[in-house]
Amino acid sequence: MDISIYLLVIVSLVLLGLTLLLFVSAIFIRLRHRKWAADIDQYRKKMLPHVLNYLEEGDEKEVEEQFTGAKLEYYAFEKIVTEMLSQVEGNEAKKLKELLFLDPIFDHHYKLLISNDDVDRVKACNYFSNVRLVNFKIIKKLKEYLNSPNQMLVFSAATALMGSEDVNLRVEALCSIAKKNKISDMALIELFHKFHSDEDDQNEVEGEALKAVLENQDISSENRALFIKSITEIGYYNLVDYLLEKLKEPTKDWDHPEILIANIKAQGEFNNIKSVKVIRTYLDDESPEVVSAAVSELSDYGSEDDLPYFKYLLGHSDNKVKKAAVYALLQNNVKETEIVHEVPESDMRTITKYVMMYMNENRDRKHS
Amino acid sequence: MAEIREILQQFVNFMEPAEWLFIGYFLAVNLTYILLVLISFFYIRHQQNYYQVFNLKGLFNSNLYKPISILSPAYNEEVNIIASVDALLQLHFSDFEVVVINDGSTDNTLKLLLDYFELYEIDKPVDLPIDHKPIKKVYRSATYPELKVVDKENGRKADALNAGINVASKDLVCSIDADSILEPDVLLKLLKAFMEEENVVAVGGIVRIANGCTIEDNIVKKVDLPKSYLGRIQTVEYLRSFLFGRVGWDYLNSLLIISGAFGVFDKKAVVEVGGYLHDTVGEDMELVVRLHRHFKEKGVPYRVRFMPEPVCWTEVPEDWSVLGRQRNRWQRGLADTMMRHKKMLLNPKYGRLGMLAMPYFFFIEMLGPVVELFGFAYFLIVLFLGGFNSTFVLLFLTASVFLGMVLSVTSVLCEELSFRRYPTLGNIANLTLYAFLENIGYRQIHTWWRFKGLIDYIKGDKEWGVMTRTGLASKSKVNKGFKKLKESISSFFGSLKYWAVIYGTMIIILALILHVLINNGVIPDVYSIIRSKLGI
Repeated sequence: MDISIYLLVIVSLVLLGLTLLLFVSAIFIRLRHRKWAADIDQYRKKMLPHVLNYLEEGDEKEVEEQFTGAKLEYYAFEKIVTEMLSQVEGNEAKKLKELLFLDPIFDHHYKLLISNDDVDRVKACNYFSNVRLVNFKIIKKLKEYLNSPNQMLVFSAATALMGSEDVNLRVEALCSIAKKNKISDMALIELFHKFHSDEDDQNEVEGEALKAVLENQDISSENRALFIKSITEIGYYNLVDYLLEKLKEPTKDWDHPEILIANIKAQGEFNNIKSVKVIRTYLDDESPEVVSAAVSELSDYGSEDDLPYFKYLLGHSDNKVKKAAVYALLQNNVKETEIVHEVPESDMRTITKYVMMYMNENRDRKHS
Repeated sequence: MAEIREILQQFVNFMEPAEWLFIGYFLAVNLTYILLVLISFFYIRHQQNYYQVFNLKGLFNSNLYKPISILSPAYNEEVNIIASVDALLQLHFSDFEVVVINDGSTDNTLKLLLDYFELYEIDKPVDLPIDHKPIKKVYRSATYPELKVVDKENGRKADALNAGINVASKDLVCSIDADSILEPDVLLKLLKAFMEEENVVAVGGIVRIANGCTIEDNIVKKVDLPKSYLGRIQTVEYLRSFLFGRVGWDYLNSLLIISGAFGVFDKKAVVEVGGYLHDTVGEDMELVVRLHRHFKEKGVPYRVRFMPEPVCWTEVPEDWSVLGRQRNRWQRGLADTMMRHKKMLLNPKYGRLGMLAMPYFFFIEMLGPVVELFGFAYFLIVLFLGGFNSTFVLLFLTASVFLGMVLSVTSVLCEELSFRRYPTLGNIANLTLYAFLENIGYRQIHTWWRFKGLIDYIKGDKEWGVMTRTGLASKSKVNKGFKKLKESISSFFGSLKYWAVIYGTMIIILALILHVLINNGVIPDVYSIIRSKLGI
């Protein structure tokens, strides 16, 4: 037989064998997954009555005794408890969290946390975000991971630290993350929401603690602005005066358009009447975005004193300012004809467009 | 006969120097695929491990997360439009709007929308940064304030999307097909791309085939494989294309395609590059390439991502001629994009994009059909003339078929390791079977469609082609009675030639195998034995 036929047979067999191997692997994975799902289901059926019993009677030993050391039960137990946690609040939630603190499950996750595998570490971080963080060794490890090159681990570690009741620890984590350039705006907003406790009485303490983040010089102006927006949205009212001071006499770190805009908007959102005078000083700022923000906020207060200056701003070189001025004037019941009358021929087209845009939006708003 | 042999022999002589080109092409294609498979295999597992990281707490309490406008262009979609828009309005997300663009429909699409969603007219947008055919009216729903409907003159999908972008009021725009079915948590899953990185300008999700699935109220309730041969073959194709093609390119930061059926874009970035092009049939790929080119030339950091987790279900054609037209259009779109942006090809200024992704799409995806088709023709003629070592031809064919199968089955395995959307073991077995069958006959037909697409592009054909959809969840009465019978008969005869190619390919391969086995004495030459026994 020719040598090429041997080659043909070998190539065919190798590739066919590889295909079969892949096929069998796929089947094997599916079967293993099915078994895993069935085992979890069975475990849930076994464990759930004990957990419910614990919630009623408070005997955690009964739950602890169910642990046998099998790998599956850590995952399954955590899944059961976290699922239940998303459905209960208050005392029951607290009690459930205590369950996650049981020795076998805690030790297992501690081992994952100190392992060399980032995936295991992330799993551990997810777990620790649900338990009260009091163990110094764990906190130290989590802080260490804030400097990891793996952004997923950084975010997970920060999330875990946000679960702490110690506001200073949360602030420290937030600060550390905010110094990073790689973190996205939305990830930072998410962390800020995780920083914010659901307990209303915490607002003041958290607000005070946040000053340390805002004062940190290593934080970029974009991130500082983002924090101001989040502060405004969540409603840390005790920071209004502090922010107003920063607007009145901005230091080098605070004198950036995006920070000034966020701060001006914050004053408006907090309805801080004391800020009007300060905001007026920004009507001739060199940044058109800042001027637009100042015009928009002042227009909400409806002071007639500002209208002549708004009219003056119709002739501003930047279209954003023109638009803000048109909107501000219309919002304060200045007639369209009066606005159009104020502008030179060259700007007529642009101003008319903004007038129409305002009227469209206004009509739509009223209708809906 | 002698004359034909002579012509064929001349062709063979002419093509002889190209033998190495065929073998080189074969090696280049398969090595690239193997590389992509390996990357995707590990990258998809890596991503899978981190899916739980962004468990969003603030999304539904904040307006600072990026809001999304879903753009759904509709042209004569009266069969599905209400169910489709209804399903879009039920998506789980904090801040989104749905913008339906009625692209000059001649049926009752607009009337149905007007009545069902109690639309009232609002003002047309004044600021129109992107060009498109005139907008006649814009409406908002009285029952769902987050629904806007744009009624405009007909101008094809790209034009409709441009109008939608102008009307959209959110930071991100999600372009879909009118018949796309988005899973309820799709936007939440897509948002992760923007959580992971700051400068993301476009994200694509996976498109899966809805044929064969059980669909109620435009929601996929039960996943299953399509019943037809073509549907199943396309399932394998889509899995391969998305689960190792796009995942691999995403890892290499060189993703050039985001499916028109489902993609999310940063509105500012799209406006900055001028929106979708009107005069191309591959507007989805062209936009992505233009975004790459724009930001590379500007030197601004940016990312184009593919996320394999968010799912969009779509109906695929199960008719040979419709599928052929679709693939022809895809090939024309690809060629058009490549030629418009040829400046990027092998240009180190564009980094991996210019040196890796563009050459791949240019030489392998665009010119591949030419090489493959000449290769097929060459081998067939050589075999016919009997001037070739048949064992070598069989070896080449075997390697080609089995390698194709190995690659396709790898994507089935990737699916098993990650998402497991096809529920039964029978599904896995079927996918593996069709991964094999795909290489015998269908692949050759597909090459022909792509080749023809390339020729049509050179001829300047920019027609979209009629895309007939049967409707997934429709209880339409349109296709009933005589019309349906007529269509079935015409479809049957239309598909005959394709089946002839498939069976023909099978017969050739079997004949070749027999020939090699007999020649090498593995099996006896029964025919000769009988002839000698009979003394013929």
